[in-house]
Amino acid sequence: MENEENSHPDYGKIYRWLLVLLVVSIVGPMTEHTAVILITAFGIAVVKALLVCANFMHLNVEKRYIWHLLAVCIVFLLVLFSFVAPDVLNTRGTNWENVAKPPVTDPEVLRSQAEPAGPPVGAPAAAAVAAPVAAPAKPAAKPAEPPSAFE
Amino acid sequence: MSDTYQVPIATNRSATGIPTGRLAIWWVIASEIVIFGGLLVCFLLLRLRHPEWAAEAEHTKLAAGAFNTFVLLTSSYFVVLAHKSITDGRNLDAVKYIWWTIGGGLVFMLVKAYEYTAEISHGYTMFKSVFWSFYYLATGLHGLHVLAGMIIMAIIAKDVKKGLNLQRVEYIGIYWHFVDVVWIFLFPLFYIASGL
Repeated sequence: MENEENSHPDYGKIYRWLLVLLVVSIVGPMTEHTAVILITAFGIAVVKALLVCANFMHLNVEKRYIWHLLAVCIVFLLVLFSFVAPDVLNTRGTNWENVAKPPVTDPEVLRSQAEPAGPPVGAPAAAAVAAPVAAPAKPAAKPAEPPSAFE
Repeated sequence: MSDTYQVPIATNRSATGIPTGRLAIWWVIASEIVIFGGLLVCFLLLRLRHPEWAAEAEHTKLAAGAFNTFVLLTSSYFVVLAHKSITDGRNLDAVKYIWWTIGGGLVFMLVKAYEYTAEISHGYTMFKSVFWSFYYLATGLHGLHVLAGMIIMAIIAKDVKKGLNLQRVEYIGIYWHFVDVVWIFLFPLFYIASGL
C-alpha cells in the first residue's frame, strides 16, 4: 500500500484505557452529583472519542487536509447549536415571548408522564377482579388522555 | 478489454498526498459527522429545554447500553488489529480479526434488538414522546450503519482472503471506528444522563 507507515501504537494499551474510561463513565453518574455526572459521562466520552480518533483512526499521523475537513464539519455543528440555542432555550427575548407550556418540574408529574400510555400487560384482568359487583351510579367518564410530550 | 489485471486508479492516484480511497472514506466520515452531529445537536437543544426528559431516560437499559459500548470498543480493537495484520503482511490474521469484528457487530445488533423488544412491549414506542422519537431515530440510524459495516466487512474479508484490495481493510476500519465514536456519544446522552 502506498504511503503506508508500518509503525503502529500499542493498541492493546489504548484498548485497556478505553475500558477503564468506560467503567468510570458508568460508575461516575451513580454519585448523582450534576458536576460529576457531566464530567464522567460527557467529559470522558470526549476523551474516549479522541483516543479512538487519534490512535485507531490514525488522525494523529493523518495529513492536515483531513483535520481541516473534519474541523469544518464540527464548526458547522457549533454554529447550528449557537444560532438556534437562544430561541430554543430562552423563554423570552426582545419583542417575543415563548408562550408554549413551560417545562414540568414536579417530580410526581414527571414520573406519571414517563409511564407508557397503554395499560401494563395483564391490567384488564386485574381490573376485572378488583371491580365492584354493583353497577356504578353514573356512566363511567371517558378516561383522561395521557399527557403527551409532543405538545 | 485486456485480460491482465490493472490496479484500480483510485488506489494509487493522489492529488492531496492521501490515497484517493482513504480520502473518499474521510469525506464519507465528514458527511456522517454532519448527519449524526445535526441530530445530536437538535436532541441536546431540546434536552436542555426539557429537564423532564430525565424521567424518560430512566427507562432505557443502562446495562445493555454499557455492554454494547464494551462490544463496540472491542470490535474497534479487532478491526485495528486487522489493519495492523495487513501492514505486517499477515493477511489470514486480518481475515480472522475482520470476522471477529463482524461478530461484535452481530452481538451489538442482538442486544439492540432485545432492548427494542423490551421497550416497545412496555409501551415505549417511537410515538410515546419526543425523547423516544429521538432515541429510536438516533439508535436506529446508528444500527443501520453497524449493519452496513458488517456487510461491507464480509465482502472485504472475502477479497483479503484472495489477497485483493488490501487497502480496503484500513478504509472500513476508519468507518467502523467512526460508528464506534458515534455510539460513545449516544451512550451518555440516552443511557446515563437520567440524573441530569
